[in-house]
Amino acid sequence: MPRAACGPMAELLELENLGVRYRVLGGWRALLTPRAPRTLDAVLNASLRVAPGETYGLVGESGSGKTSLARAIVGLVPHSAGHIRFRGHPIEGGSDRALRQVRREIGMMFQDPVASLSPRKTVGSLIVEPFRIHGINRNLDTEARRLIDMVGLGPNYLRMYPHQLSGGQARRVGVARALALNPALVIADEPTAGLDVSVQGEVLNLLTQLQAANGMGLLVVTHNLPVIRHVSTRIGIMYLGRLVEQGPTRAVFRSPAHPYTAGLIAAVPQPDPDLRRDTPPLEGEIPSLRNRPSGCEFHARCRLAVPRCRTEAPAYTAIAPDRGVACHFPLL
Amino acid sequence: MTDPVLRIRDLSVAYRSRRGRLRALRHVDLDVPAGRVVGIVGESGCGKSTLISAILGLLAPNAETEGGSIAFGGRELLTATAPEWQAIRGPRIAVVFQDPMTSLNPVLSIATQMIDIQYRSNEPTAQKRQRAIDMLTRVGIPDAAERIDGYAHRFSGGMRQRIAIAMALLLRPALLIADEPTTALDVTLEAQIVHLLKSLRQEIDGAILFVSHNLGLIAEICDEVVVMYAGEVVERADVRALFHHPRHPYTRLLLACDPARVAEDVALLPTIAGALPDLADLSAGCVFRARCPDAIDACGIPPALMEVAPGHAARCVRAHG
Repeated sequence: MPRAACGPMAELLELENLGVRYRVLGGWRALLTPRAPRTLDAVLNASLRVAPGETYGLVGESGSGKTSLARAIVGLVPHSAGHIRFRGHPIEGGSDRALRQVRREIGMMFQDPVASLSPRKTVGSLIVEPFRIHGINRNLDTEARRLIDMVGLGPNYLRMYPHQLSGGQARRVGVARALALNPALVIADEPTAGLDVSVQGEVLNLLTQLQAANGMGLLVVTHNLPVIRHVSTRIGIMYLGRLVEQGPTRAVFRSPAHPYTAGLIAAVPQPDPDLRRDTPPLEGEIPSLRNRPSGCEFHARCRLAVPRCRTEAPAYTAIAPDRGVACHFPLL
Repeated sequence: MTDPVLRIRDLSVAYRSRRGRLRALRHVDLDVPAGRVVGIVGESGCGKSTLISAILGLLAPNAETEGGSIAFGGRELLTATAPEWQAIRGPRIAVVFQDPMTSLNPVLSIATQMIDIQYRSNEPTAQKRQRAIDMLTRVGIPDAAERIDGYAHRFSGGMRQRIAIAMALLLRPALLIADEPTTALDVTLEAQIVHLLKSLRQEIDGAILFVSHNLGLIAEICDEVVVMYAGEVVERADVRALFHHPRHPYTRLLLACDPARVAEDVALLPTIAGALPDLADLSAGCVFRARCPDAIDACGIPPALMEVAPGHAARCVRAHG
């Protein structure tokens, strides 16, 4: 697997203090409840970098904002704050044409592979859709054959419809679509969700092999910690829309700095009956985004919380080269 | 040794389809002893759902039971009548599904539903309500006495699953079927729900049939494990024996695929090559033969589920030498 080289390097993707804000109340309901907040911050102050050829794992539970962040990068949801730079060039506030140009270079794999494929189009027509959308003049039959072969399916699949595919096959079609234009960055939103354990590996190995072949950067959004541990070089942990910890995957798994990261890793059940746990590693649930806790937003679930955590929000601070954490008392 | 709560023998179920008969379950044997947690693990298409539907008498109209028996507390379920089912499903065999909203009514308050399911009891409503509140408190619903009057949509996914568990256990069933109960939940909530089930099993004297595709959860909660593949039980063992000394090649490969068991520096994850056999057109011999790295000529003869060690059975000719 290609690893990011040490030292300064041209970043492929850079997010700086990114924010995504959704409007939640409008119209007559807003008039009825004038005091209720009108907006909801799904992503707050998120900064991250993805280098060419690197796999960055964005990890978090439902509602942590990881999908919103991924969609904001390609402009599927507008960001309300911060900057997105792709190959050093800002992509915010641009015209639709500028955004379209960026989307040519960023491939996207969506969460639900079957739902993201139009049910009335054949696989052959679906995987060359990117060429049509971007008006690229190519021999589409040749491209379709090249792509279906690239993801390890036979040419007979080109005539099939999405409902005839298994979950793993639908993911492969998703990979073919995302990689059709040979993008520099691929964003994969939950690439293994809903797949059997013996098939998960197939999809991830395919992505890893294609990455090794063409050197694209990979941003994998997932809640599956055992999987991301194997495929990513760096990871970021999201909680309530904030990146609470980032660092090289191995270092973070070996010695998590944020108590939430530690709890998340400990919560993964181990396939060994001799490693049973007596207590769940994390109590409570993720608070509502509409009602963010004061201070450190994790304090109510944190076993190490002290009064300061209730009042003062910790800043995201570097604790080691390429590692940062937002906690007053990091575990390192 | 007392009789198991649930005893399934030689159960075969097929679905009628345009392509012919899909033989979804073939010669399944399964025992769930009282007070034990038995896990069923298997991937999509292994027959887990058909098996559960058969136990609950909820097979689809195009399903046909080809043979075998399902005995529950000494009573044959395959021939049970509708009124008999009414006395079994719910009070004696309860289920917790993957999606709690399949068992919660969105337009009735939690209190109404939990009082309604106690309709067989002659106690006053206040007492039924109190029992429901106690149960909700037990499963970790804060302020249960007030929140019981709320509706399902007011609760988070994790809380709804706790309520579904409380409802399932309210009538003290002899068998609780947990069908992928945490698949829709995040990992921290999953750990909480599994911990809850583990602590509840000490209090209820019933047995639990825990169905999951997650090997980690199976290891965490089960006493015994049954591995299914393409409609057959391929291995059955005590949880330690299964995870430490798997005998069937499919079990071994399945365990090897779990990313949680793969060494950290391995970048390419192991997979099982090949696909499930066509259930409408099964060739003779072992169902796993086409994908099995250890297959030999003898695999052309259908293997029996045979004991390879005390309490440990595998359906593989090579497992018993």
